[in-house]
Amino acid sequence: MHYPSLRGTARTLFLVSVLAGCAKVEAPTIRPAASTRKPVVYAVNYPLARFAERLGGDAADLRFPVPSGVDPAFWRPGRDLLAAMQQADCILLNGADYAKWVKTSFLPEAALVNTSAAFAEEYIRLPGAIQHSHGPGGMHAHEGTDFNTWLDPVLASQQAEAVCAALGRLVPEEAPVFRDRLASLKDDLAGLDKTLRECAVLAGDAPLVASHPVYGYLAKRYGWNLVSLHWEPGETPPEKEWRSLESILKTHPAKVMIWEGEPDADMVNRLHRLGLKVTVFAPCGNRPGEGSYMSVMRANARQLKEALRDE
Amino acid sequence: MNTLFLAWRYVTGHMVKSAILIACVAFTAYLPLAVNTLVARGQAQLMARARTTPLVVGARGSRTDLTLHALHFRMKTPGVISVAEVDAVRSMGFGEVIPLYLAFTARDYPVVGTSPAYFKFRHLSVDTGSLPLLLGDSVIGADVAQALGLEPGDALLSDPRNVFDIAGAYPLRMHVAGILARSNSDDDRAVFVDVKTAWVIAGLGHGHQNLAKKTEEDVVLNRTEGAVVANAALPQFNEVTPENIDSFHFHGEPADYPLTAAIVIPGNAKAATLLAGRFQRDGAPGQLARPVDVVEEMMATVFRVKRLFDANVALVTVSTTLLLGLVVLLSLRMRAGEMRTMHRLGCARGTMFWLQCWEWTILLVAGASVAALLAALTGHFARAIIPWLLA
Amino acid sequence: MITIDGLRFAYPHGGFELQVSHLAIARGEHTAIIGPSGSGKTTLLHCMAGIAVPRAGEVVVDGERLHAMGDAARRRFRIRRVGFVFQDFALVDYLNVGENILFPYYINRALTLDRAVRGRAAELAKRMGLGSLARRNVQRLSQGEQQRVALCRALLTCPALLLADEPTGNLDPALKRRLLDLLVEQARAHGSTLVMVTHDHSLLDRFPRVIDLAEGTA
Repeated sequence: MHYPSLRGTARTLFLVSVLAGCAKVEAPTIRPAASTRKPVVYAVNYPLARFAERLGGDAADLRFPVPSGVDPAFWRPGRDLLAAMQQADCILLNGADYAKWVKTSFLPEAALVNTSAAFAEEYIRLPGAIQHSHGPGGMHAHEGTDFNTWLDPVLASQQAEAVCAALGRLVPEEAPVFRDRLASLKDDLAGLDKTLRECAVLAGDAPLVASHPVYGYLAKRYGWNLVSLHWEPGETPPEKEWRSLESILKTHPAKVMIWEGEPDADMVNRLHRLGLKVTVFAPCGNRPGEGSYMSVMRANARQLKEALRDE
Repeated sequence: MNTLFLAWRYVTGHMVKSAILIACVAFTAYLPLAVNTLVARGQAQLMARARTTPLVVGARGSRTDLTLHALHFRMKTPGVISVAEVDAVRSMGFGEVIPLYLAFTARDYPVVGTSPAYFKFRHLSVDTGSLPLLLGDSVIGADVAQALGLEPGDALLSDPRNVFDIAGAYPLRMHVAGILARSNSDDDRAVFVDVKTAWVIAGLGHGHQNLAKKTEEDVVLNRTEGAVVANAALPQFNEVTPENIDSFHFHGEPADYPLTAAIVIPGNAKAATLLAGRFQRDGAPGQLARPVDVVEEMMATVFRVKRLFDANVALVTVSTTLLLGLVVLLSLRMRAGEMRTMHRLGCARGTMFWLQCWEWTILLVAGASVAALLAALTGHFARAIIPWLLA
Repeated sequence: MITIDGLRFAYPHGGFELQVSHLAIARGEHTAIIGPSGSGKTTLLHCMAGIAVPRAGEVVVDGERLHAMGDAARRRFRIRRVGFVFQDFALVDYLNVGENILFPYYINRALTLDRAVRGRAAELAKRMGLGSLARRNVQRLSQGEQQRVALCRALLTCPALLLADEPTGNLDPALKRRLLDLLVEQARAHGSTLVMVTHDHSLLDRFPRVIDLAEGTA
């Protein structure tokens, strides 16, 4: 009996999301109904919203509907919002199985733009999915995909290109302006990439620990020797988890632990006692309290660089 | 006018006889009127829909079946084409492509799986509620809502059978999200869902308990490292709810998923020509039909058949006229006593002749009126009758 | 009023022939015609009404030479001068009582159906005891009532000549008597000449004059 591979099944899931209607690059130009009306653009996460904001300026009516403090990856819009989104001219999707609600929502496929479609082959499949069978359908698995693509400035740059192309189709006359702004954004992302490369040089093969498995693309891009836990910044993990960390550190003697957010002081102290220095690399999936995607990413990179330099 | 009065009294005084004669005249006149009305209205309806549907893509086979399927939701179809084939058309960039997957019914109304673009394309607006928003949602045509007494918030169960007999198709309890405003088209008699919802009905996608969780041991037959085998009792959700929606998923290669047709709206005439060229090549997986051409061909056949029918009607009319002539003769014989009395009372032969003329005028006018009324009713209900004839 | 001389009448395919060498009936006179079946009583009445045309002889009624008239002239004569009560009543089955009484006005353009005529018809019906039955279909009437309707119809045009062909034929004795009373009374009231064919000898006492047709001759 042939069981589909994890990779194949994950591709399946992606293609389902494509079927849910990600527009192809060759899709015909979509113009808003009335020329005086700004095209309505939704973004499913903050980085995409920020890219659209920077690139589009006032040319588009950009909407990022996820409330602050909520992880957009696991948020689901209400019916009223979905009804509004059905009227959208463009919905910027992250792809990579991000925002699963899109797969079960009835959205205009011509408006859906999968910003990571160009590098779908580079998606990182998450292990741990269990194959199972029931009924006549045969063995299958519901596995996950690491969707934090925007943390990798190189991938983020490609996503920004997709955003730029989508905006260009909506407002063709402004496309040159968007492209100019894209060049500036890509410069910034290149700067970020440069800093992260420097981090990579500093880190070398040094083992690193992450509180959460969200840095897959960074680790892949910059060759981090990274082991990820499932710890939340606001929660104190049970003793079993601490023992598990200690056990990991025996074979993977990391000196730096990367967190999505600042853990509390007790936690920091206890990690210190285990020889781990805490550094925060905020994924920035939602709009930050202060600053922007770029400033948060720069701060992330700077902090990481400092942590690695101090090591 | 006195003779008209007498004629009227004769007709009303012999109700049964008059009714039979009126019916005889009415039916003889009604049949060609009705056929003409239905053919004219049918042609108008078919052509109106065909004119607004530039191109249709579907499996190879009967172009007529494909067109009637994609435009009028007739269940018969030449077969399925894959999503990949439709995506290929879309990727040619010749225009907008609207997928259709129509394999199931709900309370005998076609369940049309499509994309939101369909509603924009057909200029369909929502009367109450909303378009489908989530998997499992439906928006129903005005006639469906009226016939089934459904309102937004109600549920509608899909019928268990399907035209392709795909294994594992379980009825899905669909949530009625809204009712479409009446469009006086086949859209009034359909249930619209997301194409993904239609695939769920087809068993290509489903939702069930999370087998990775240790709490669901009662349905697990065998659990090994990395693999779980569940028994057939693993409950698959027959309704999409806010609680279980995230458990819905699809199996198999999405590119292989079936569509029964796709409407293509080419950006311009050149795009349409280029697209047609692609499909005329040997080895093209499906076929491209231009509904206007298909309907014109259909109507040409209909008109050929109608000519035979018209000849038949002419013969029937002649025989009916002869029979009515016989009835006139018999009637004169039956009324010989009455005529004799009139003669004895000094009545002129011309008066007797006019009396007869008036009587037949009344019968013919009444018969023609009944025929016209029936024909008008047929015209009024043509919208409902024509789909039945096409089904 | 009526003068018949040398009348000979025969049906085209029948062997019977009616011969009347001379018959005169004065204006206002009430006459009964009797005779065995087939003796030509009805034929004689039809000759007097201009319905039947004699092969030979003269029929003069009120100065009108019927034997010399064409069909249209005789029809006009009947409309103007004759009221006829038929043996079989000859009512129109799809009309009601009132309409049957007015029937001559419906079928003859020479007669004008106006308010006065309708009033007279209603008055006649009332006098004949049919006042409450005006809207009833004649098929739903008793024989006596039907005969009275036929009588009303014959009288409505105030005819100078009232011809009655065995009007009491199928009635019971009491009804016969009542109808005959009505007939005589109405004829007298209108000043009409009354000629009645009958084979019922019990009624002859009401007629000052009786003509016996035996073997086709008067």
